[in-house]
Amino acid sequence: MRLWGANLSVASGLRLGMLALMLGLSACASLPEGHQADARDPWERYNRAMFSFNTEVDDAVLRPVAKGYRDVVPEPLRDAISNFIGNLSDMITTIHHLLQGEAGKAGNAAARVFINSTVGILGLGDPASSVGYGKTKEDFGQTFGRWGAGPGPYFVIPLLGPSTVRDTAGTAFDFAADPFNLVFQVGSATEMGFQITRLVDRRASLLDGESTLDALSFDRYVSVRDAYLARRNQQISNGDVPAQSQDPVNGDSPK
Amino acid sequence: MTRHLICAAALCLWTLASPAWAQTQSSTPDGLIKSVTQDVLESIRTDRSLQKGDLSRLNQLVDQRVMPVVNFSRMTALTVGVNWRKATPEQQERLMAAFRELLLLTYADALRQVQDTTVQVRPARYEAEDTDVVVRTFVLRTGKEPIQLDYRLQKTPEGWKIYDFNVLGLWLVDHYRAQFAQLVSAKGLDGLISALQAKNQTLRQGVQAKAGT
Repeated sequence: MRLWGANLSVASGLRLGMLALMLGLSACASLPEGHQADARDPWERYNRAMFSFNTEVDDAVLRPVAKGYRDVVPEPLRDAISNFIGNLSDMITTIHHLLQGEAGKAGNAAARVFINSTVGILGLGDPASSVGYGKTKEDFGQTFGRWGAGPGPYFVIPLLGPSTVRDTAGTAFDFAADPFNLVFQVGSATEMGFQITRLVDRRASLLDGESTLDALSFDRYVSVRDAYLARRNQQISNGDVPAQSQDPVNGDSPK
Repeated sequence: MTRHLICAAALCLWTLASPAWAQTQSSTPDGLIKSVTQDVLESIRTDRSLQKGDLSRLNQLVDQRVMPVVNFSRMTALTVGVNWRKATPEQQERLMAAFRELLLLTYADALRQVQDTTVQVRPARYEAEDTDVVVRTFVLRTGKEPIQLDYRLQKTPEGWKIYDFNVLGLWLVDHYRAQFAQLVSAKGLDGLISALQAKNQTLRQGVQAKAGT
C-alpha cells in the first residue's frame, strides 16, 4: 500500500511538472508565417515547442549514440539484437491480434514466436519470415482504435515524440505490458541495459531515412505530424486506403 | 516508422521509373503497376551508377521511362491546390520544373537505401467504367513489417496515368499540399518556387557529395 501511495504521489508530481512545462512551452512557442491551422492539432503551439525540444535532445544525445552504435557494432550482431527485441514484441502482438478478434493473424504471430524462439535460437534469427510468416506489429493504441476509440488531438509526448491522446494512453499500457518487465526485475541493471539497447536499436533503424524525410519536408513539424497520423490511421484500418479528402483544384484536370 | 516511410517513398519513386514499353502490356491499372514494378526492380538491381545516385543517369531514366506513365502536370496542380489557378502559365511551368526536380532528387537519395525487396501487387477492384483507380502494393522485406504502397491512377486517352501515391497511409499530394499552402500564404507563388529551388539546391549538393562526384 505504501509503495502504491508513493507511486501515486510521484505520478501526480510528474503530472504537475508536465502541466507547468506545457504551459511554459505554450507561452513561448510561435507559429510559422503562413501557418495553416489543422483541426487534428488544436495544441499546435505546445506541440511545436515540445517537438523542437525533443529534436534538440535527440541531436545532443540519442542520434550521436545511435550513430556510434551503428559504426561500432557489426551488422550481424545488430541484426541479432533487432531480431531478439522483435521476437519479444511478436509475443505482445499475438495478444493484440487476439484482443482485436483477428485469430488468423494471432496464429501467424504465435507461429513466428515459436519458430524464431526455437529454430531462430531464442529469437536471435528470423527464419519465420523466410517460411512465409510475415511480421506484423500491434500495440495498445491500435487495439483501442480497433475497439472504436478515436485518436483525439495530436500530442507530442516529452522525449517520446509524436502521439495522440489515445496513443498516449496506449503507450502507458504498452509500458505496463512490456515483456522486458515480465522477464527482468524492474529497475534492475539488466532491465535498464535492455531498455537502453532497445532505444538505441530503434533510433539506429531510423538513421538512414532521415535525409529523405528532410527532402520531403518544408516544415519538418508538419511532415512528421502528418506522416504519424496517416500511418496510425492506416495501421488501425488495417491497410484500407482512405479516399482523398477533396480535389483541391475543384475537380478539374488542369491540362 | 520514419524509415518505413522513407524506404517506401524510395520504392514508390523507384517504381515510377518504368520503361515506356511496359505500357504495351498494361491496359489495366494493376497490370501497369505490376509490369513497371518488376521491370524497375530489375533495372536498379543491375545498374550500379543508379544505386550510387548518379544524377545525370537518373535524369535520363526519368525522362525516358517515368514521364510516360505519370500525369505530372495534374500531380503538380494537385499539390499546389487552389493556388494553381492563380498561377500564370509561366509560374506553372516553373512550378512543374521545380517539383519534378524535387521528386527526382528525393528518389536519388532514397535509392541508396533500398535493397533486398520484393513487391506484391494486389489485384485492383474496380468497374469497367471507372476512370480513377487505386492499386495497392506491398513491399516485402525479411523480418520487417511489409510497407504498403498505393498508387492512384486516372484513365486518360493515352492510357492509365499515375497521379498520386500513398506511402504508409500518407498521400504524397496531400502531404505536399499542406506545406506548399503554408509557403504560398507566407511568400506568394514566387516564394513557393524559390523555396522549392532552394530545397533542390541543398538536396543536389547532398546527393552529389554522397555519390562522390
